[in-house]
Amino acid sequence: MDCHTAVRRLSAYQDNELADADRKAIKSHLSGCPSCNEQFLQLQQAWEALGSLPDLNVSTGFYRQIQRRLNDTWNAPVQVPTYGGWFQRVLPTSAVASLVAVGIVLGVVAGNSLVARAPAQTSAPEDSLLSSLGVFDPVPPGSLADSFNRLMAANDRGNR
Amino acid sequence: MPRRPTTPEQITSEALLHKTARGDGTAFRALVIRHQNHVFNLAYRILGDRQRSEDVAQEVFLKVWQTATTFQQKSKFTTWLYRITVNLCLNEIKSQRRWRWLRLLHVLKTNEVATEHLIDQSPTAEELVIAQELNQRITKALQALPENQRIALILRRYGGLSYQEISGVLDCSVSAVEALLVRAKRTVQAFLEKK
Repeated sequence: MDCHTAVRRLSAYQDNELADADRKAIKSHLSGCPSCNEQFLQLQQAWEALGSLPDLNVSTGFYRQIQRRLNDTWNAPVQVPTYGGWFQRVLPTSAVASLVAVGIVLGVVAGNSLVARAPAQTSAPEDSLLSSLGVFDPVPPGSLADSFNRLMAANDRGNR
Repeated sequence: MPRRPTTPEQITSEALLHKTARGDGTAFRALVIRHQNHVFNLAYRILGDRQRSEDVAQEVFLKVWQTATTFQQKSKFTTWLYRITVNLCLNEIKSQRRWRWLRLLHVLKTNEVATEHLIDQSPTAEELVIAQELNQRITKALQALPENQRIALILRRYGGLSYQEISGVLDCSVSAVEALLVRAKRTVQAFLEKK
């Protein structure tokens, strides 16, 4: 084997990438050629120096960043459980709005049915009009607060 | 005899990828944790910049998630993973070149002197360790290599890939890999001896 071929194959020899026959040929050449052997030793030094670079670690939160980037795309595989996310899933905006509406209706119905209203003293149309303006009172007739007031008044009368 | 439960650590990367392809988030997480530092170090040694390398490493795993179903069992998972990493690093280098060219135009227009170093080395605690003299020289030597030589050397030295696998990543012949590695090792040695 000539020096040119030997030098060209030194890296593969160093990395154990040669077939047995080629490996033996290079080994034999190196033992008899100080120049090629010197080049081989230099390759070894470079190889060892490269190995002295320390490995770095990824930053903490690396996986969470990947999760976030995945969640930003349509095919998010892993959900990060958060209180906000859970709350929003359990109680979406439409459900909250529905609950509020049901509460108002129940309040009005209960306000009118739990405590019987006092019979109207007059039935004149003017009185009816005036009484309808009661919705602007601080405690509108028919509301839960109005029912509560009337209930307390009835109790007071009963106690006396 | 009762079967022992299998933990993610006991499963091969190929099997974890198979589960990932079926949407198993736990398998994907195990895969990321197992390979995150390998991918990051590979990218770091190609790009020479911590932040960019971490971004690329994240992109690698996003790509793994998105293309898990396309993995061919013919090759090793790590070969496939490193191929994705190298391709994304090369894309990053290309986009950086374009960006740098635009920045150079801007500098020329504003008559400013371009003093910025080619490699952005933002100091972090870990990089201060690397900043020891020898390591700096090795890093510079790696960065001074032509792209193909650098990637071949990094895949061999730090990825432990065979010449056959490197040829698959670089899409060239095994003898071409051999030639790249001889030149790369000689250049690194010359660089280290020079100073």
